[in-house]
Amino acid sequence: MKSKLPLGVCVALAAALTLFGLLYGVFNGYADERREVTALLEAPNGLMDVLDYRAADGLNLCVVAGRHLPMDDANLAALRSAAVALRDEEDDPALKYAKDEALEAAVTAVAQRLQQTESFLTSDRDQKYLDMLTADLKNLAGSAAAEVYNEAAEAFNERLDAPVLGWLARLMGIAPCALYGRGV
Amino acid sequence: MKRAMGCLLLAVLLACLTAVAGLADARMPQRRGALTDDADVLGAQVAADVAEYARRLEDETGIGLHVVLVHFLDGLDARSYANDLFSAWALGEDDLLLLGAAGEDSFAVALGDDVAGKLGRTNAENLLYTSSHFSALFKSQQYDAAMAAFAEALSSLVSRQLKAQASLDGLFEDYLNTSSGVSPVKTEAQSYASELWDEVMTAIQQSGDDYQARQQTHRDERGGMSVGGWLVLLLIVLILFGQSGPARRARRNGPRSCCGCSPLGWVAGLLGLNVFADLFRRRKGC
Repeated sequence: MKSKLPLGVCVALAAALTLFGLLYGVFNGYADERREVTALLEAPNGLMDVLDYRAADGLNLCVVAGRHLPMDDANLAALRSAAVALRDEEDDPALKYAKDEALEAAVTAVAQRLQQTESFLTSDRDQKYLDMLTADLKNLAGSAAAEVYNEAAEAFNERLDAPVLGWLARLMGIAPCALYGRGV
Repeated sequence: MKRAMGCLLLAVLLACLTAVAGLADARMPQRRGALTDDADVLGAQVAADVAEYARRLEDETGIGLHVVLVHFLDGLDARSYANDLFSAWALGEDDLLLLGAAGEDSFAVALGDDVAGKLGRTNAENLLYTSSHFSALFKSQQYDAAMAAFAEALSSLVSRQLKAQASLDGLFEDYLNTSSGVSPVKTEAQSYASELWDEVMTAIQQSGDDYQARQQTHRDERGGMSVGGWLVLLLIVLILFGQSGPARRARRNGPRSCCGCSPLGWVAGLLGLNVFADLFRRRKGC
């Protein structure tokens, strides 16, 4: 079969197809990779769930502390609001980090306050619950979720900063991933 | 095949991880039969009695009894947690779920519509309060006695509403007697640990490991083109080369027999190798 199109048109068509293939491939590749990284945040048992569970432990501690501290106790109120704030679903990882730090401080303050409360010191059950909750908070904080997410996000951001393909991906709207605790 | 198996395994793993996590806001235990005592507050005998009573109740009335004991409710109230757990476990119209949170001294029941119709929703909720000493016993950490009181009250309600007998014969014997009701024995949590929380930690760890394994697979796949890939690429290049001007000229011009590949000459021509044959022939002067 003989070609009917002029050579210039053939070359232009080939160049357009190649360019489309390149742009489509770059966009899809980077978008897929970004989805994998954000899944480490939002998928079940990802970093956001870890923070949710820490917030839940904060609220559980409020129940235990509520048996020994007055309802209007400032430390108890601070713990409750820190836990509720950490559960806010709209936040990015950098803000979540700050809220988790606030929760940690509030838990420490309530634990210290409880240790000065007579009824708490005579309750073997609630002392064990405090130990149980602080141990779980520590386990969750020590889980690899944040580290794995940050490593993946950093590696993705580096590829997004790489010349040509990374720049093309940025031009097509692929955004870098925010790091947990450090912003973008 | 391997890929399909991999996808299937991944789907099963994700389903398991989701089941452990339950809803994102609260950790919910996996079902472990009629009794799920994650708080480990019931004695072995009472635990066995609860399971046996649930079996008898189902046999006699068709009502599925599920008792769940956890330490904490992760910020939810008992009724919401019980309803969420009822949904998460996909319980049906004939199921009745009793939830107790030992660390919060709170409890609730969740009912399927058929059970609510048979027993009456208010009657079922009263099992925890006015119809028994369950509330007082649970709040004073007498969990074994609380379970016995609940079973006794439920048995009585079933007998009244359904005219059926879910017998308590031989069950909860240390706690039930006709003269004084429930005996006051205090049973605190036997272990201040949660299997549920441990499962969640394992699932979190597994989630990170899975990601790293996937990344490793991607890195291996990106490691370069396979031998087959290189062969296909070579074939394409040769076919393109075969369409070039010199190759076409060589096909038009000359005999190909002198290179000794006459029967397969058309293949050589397609691949453009006849150019080399031409060059060779010219040098030899044939």
